[in-house]
Order: sequence, then C-alpha cells, then structure tokens
Amino acid sequence: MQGFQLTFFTQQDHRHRGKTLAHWLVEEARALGIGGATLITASEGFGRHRRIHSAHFIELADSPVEVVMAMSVEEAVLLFARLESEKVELFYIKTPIEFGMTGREEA
Amino acid sequence: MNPGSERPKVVVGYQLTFFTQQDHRHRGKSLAQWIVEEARSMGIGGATLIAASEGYGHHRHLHHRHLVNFPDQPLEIVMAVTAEEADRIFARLDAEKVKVCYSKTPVEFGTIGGADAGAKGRG
Repeated sequence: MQGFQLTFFTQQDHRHRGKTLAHWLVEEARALGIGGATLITASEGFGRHRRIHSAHFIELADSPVEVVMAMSVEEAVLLFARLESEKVELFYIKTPIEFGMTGREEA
Repeated sequence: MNPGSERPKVVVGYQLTFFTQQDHRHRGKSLAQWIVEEARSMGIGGATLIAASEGYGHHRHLHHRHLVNFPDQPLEIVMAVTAEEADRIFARLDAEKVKVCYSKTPVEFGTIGGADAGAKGRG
C-alpha cells in the first residue's frame, strides 16, 4: 500500500482534553480507523523552544515523545483536518512510504 | 522561535537519522549528545534522541539491552532539516571526522495548528 509515514513530536507534559497529547493522538488515530500508531518515549530532544529536554529518572515530565503511524493519503487528509479543527499545535514529519503486512496467505 | 513567522507552513527537506551507540564518544561526551548539541548550535529546528532496545551495525555484532549495564545501547538521533541544513551538517561531521551511519529521506515537515491556526497556547 502506498501512503505516508507521519511522525509527531511532543512531550510527556503536553496535555489535550484531559490526557497527554501523545495519548490523545494515538486514540484519535484509532478512532479515525488508522491501522496503527506507536508511541515512543525518547531520551532527549530539543524543539521550538530551543531547550534540551532529557528523560531523567526523577523528572520525566518533559520527556520528548514521538508518535509514529503509517496511513493512506486519504487518512492523512482526514487526520490533518481533525488536528486543525482541534487546534492542537504539533511538529510533524511526513514522508511517502510503502507499507503493508508480511506473511499473507496468498503470497 | 516563533513558528510560522519565518518559515512557510510546510517545509520540503530531509529526515536525517544517525545511528550510534551509548559508548561512542566524541570531544569528551557521548557522540549522540554531541550531535544533538551541534545541531542545536547550528540552528537546526529540533532533534530527538531515541534509545533503542537492540541493534546491529557495520561490525555485525548484535547489541541489546541488559538490565544492569548497557554501555553499547544503540541510539538514534532524528531530525528534519532543509537541503541547505543537511549540507551544513554533513560538512560539519566531515570536518570533525565523525564516522557515523545515517539514513536520509525526503520529507515534508511543519507545525500543525501553529501561528496560522491562531493557537498561541497549547491544548
């Protein structure tokens, strides 16, 4: 299948609608019928505020988090429209990919 | 940085991913840390360092997580850059004689719901 890989970058303490923004994003993707999403907690990162955030044992609040998902072109349009309407602010990377499942019966 | 004011909403560029490990060092710090700091000082918009669970590279030796000690933990550093920024990063790494495996792929990147959407605060 041809589509896009979208990676969204946020951090543990960014919240939306009463949950972490990353978790909200995963649930929203699921609700839209997107096939899968993976949330990854990063060790360190910096973004638009130029401050380096690290995941320490004691203070995990501002750990950088990324959410990765693969989707069709139509699903990407849907997801972006949804995010725009929710007015969430998120940095993303979008790249054209091929994706699918291995081990198909007919193969 | 004020997103939306200096850059167009969507930027065409590259995703760069550098693959290294915890015990590779450069100029007195971990190489991964050095790359993140170098990207920052060069004005790259962002970089994320991810600690992986397992991996192997050009030495064919599989590195994986032990509970106690994981000095050779595989690390990746991901960043989205313009073509011009990518050239500058590679020139810098060459000048520093840093040997690091990378992947480079064409991408679009940007901030959704940024200045255009009038979202000053975060949700």
